[in-house]
Amino acid sequence: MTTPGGPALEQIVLDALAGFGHDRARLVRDADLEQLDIDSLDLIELVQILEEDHGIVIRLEEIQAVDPQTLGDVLDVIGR
Amino acid sequence: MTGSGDGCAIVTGGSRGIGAAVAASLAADGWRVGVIQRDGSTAGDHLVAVADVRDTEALERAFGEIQEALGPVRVLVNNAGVRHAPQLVAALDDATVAAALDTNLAAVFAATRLALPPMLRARWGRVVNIASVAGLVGSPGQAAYAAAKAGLISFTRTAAMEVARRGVTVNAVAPGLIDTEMTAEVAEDVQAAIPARRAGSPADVAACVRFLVSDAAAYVTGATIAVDGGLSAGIDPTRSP
Repeated sequence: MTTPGGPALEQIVLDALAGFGHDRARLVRDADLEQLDIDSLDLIELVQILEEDHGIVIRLEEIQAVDPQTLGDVLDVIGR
Repeated sequence: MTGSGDGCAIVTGGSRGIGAAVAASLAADGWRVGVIQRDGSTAGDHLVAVADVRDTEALERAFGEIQEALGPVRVLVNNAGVRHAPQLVAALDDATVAAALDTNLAAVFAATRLALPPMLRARWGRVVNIASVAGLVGSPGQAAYAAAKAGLISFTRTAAMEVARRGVTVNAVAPGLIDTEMTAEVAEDVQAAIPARRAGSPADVAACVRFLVSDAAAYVTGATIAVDGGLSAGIDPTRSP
């Protein structure tokens, strides 16, 4: 499977988070994770969706290691 | 919703005793049941995956085999457990303590970690931990086992709080004296100390697990339910020692 990157990857992440019930309109790079109410459980699920549905393997610890504050921080570490 | 339509139930240590009764009752409710056990013997009609629960890699493989065949895990019953040879704390050796903590407690962390992601994604899941009355009250001679089971009850509370908002419940059942091979050597006079005046059966425990797995128990989480004939409920001052 070809792994998507750049805008395609961003789309996958935003779609997944919207699927968890987060307001799609508020899901922008600068948005604060705490204000979006995106928590560790969301990240666990996101990691699972990326791997199972898109073949993108990233460990939760890799995301947590950068202590992400904004949605952009999460997108950056997944896109590395 | 009930998850039985598209998923499976996994029972560790499900080949005999309480585990076998739990597996049978879940199957009766329509669950496809996978049993993880140390040896390759059969476990009723259930799919068997062989793993020592203390071996995290083997446990992961067993989860993979079962989910490949039966669908994503929706119910996990952490039942595998071992008592140790009776020994006073003053003489309890490190190896016995480590073995008791590994099987009765650490393995539950690993199994639950494997089970939670698919449950969270489904917004429905049930984890039931088979603790023990020894985790609620003192149990002379079984300090390592009792401490592990008390730890399991504490683990249950915290795990429940972490995942409650995703429709996943985590509860514990604390059996008292149950007629199984594991308790066969427990003295018969212990039964006299049980308010119900009898040992329980694996079916008594399975009935409680069955409830906790059901949709009727959706709002019960972080709880520990004693299935012990009143053994841990208190001391009867009218009985002479």
